[in-house]
Amino acid sequence: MALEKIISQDRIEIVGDYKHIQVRTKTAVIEDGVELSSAYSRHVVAPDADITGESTEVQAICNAVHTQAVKDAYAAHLASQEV
Amino acid sequence: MAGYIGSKTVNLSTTGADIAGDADVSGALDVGGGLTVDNDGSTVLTVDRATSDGTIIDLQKSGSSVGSIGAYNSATGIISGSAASYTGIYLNTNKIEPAGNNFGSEIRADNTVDVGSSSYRFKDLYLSGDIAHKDAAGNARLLYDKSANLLGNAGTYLYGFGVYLGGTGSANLLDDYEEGTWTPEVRISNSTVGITYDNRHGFYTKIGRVVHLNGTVTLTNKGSNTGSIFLHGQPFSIANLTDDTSLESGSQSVDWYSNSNGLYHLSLICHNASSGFSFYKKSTATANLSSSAVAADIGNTFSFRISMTYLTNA
Repeated sequence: MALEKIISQDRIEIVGDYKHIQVRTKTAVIEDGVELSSAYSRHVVAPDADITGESTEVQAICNAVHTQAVKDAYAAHLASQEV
Repeated sequence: MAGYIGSKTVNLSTTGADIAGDADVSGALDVGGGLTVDNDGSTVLTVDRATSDGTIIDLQKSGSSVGSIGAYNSATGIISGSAASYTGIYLNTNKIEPAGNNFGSEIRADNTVDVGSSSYRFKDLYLSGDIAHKDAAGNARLLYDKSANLLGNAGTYLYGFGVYLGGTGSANLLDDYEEGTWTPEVRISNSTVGITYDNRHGFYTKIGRVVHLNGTVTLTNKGSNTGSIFLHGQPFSIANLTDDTSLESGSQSVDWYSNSNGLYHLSLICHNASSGFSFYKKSTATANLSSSAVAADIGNTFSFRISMTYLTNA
């Protein structure tokens, strides 16, 4: 009867015009291969975000979709924001 | 004493007749007082209807038929009852089908025979495949398939891909529900440099495209940056739904705050696509709520509680 806590990024989604990356982190408690409980935590990675703290997989996705064109468009969008 | 069935000799006594070997009877045979047939190690009784479908064994009570076992399309049917109330089963190839007619051109019947009743129910049902429910007209209503997907009519998923409520259009689809945590992140001039926390916690509930957040933050240091204060870290991207402005409408509330510098009122508003919220302030009772709160408006140990609702495109 072994208990383990497994933390995984079980959902990574690319959404919106500026390719925001939504990351869902799942924390599961497993007993002998059977999931007893789980909980989610989320965060969003914007094109201008510092990704050094992200997982290797998220960094790879960021590098793939946050092209310079996307970053420039997002920066222009932020600069154009007016009330 | 000896008697005969056809050409076979039968031993007769006062208590019955005993046929020790084969007996062939051409024509009807009436047996009163019960008929016992036994054999050892091979088929005991063969009842053969030679060429056509129809009743093979007629079950009677008081001389009237109450049911039958017979052949239909070279398979077996078991029927009980009489005209207008036939009920039974047809043992078809790899399936058991409801029977509701006497042996004839069709013994099967659609949409007339129940399995169990409200007072006399079967117990457990063990299946390895799908459960398909159709209405009386034959339209698909519900399918619970062997992959644990619950699907509504037209194959729409009730589990996994959402459920339609109040209609079947895309606007009626509830496709997501989720609860979890998020980590609030204060930024000043879009930077986190020098900002440290005593505590910060966030919780979210997402229902369809509506995201509701709760959060609490207490700083130990706001850093040295100047400029506007933002809140980031929200769990879902903010939809861009309002025209002519990047500030999305929603319901954002700073429920409580402390260690500010002369603020009359503090609020939050979300930016579309920018992954964050801006703090807005009123410095006096009559001021508009249209000025960004800046670093100078808060102390190093600025603390706040928030609740927010916004729409996401996730």
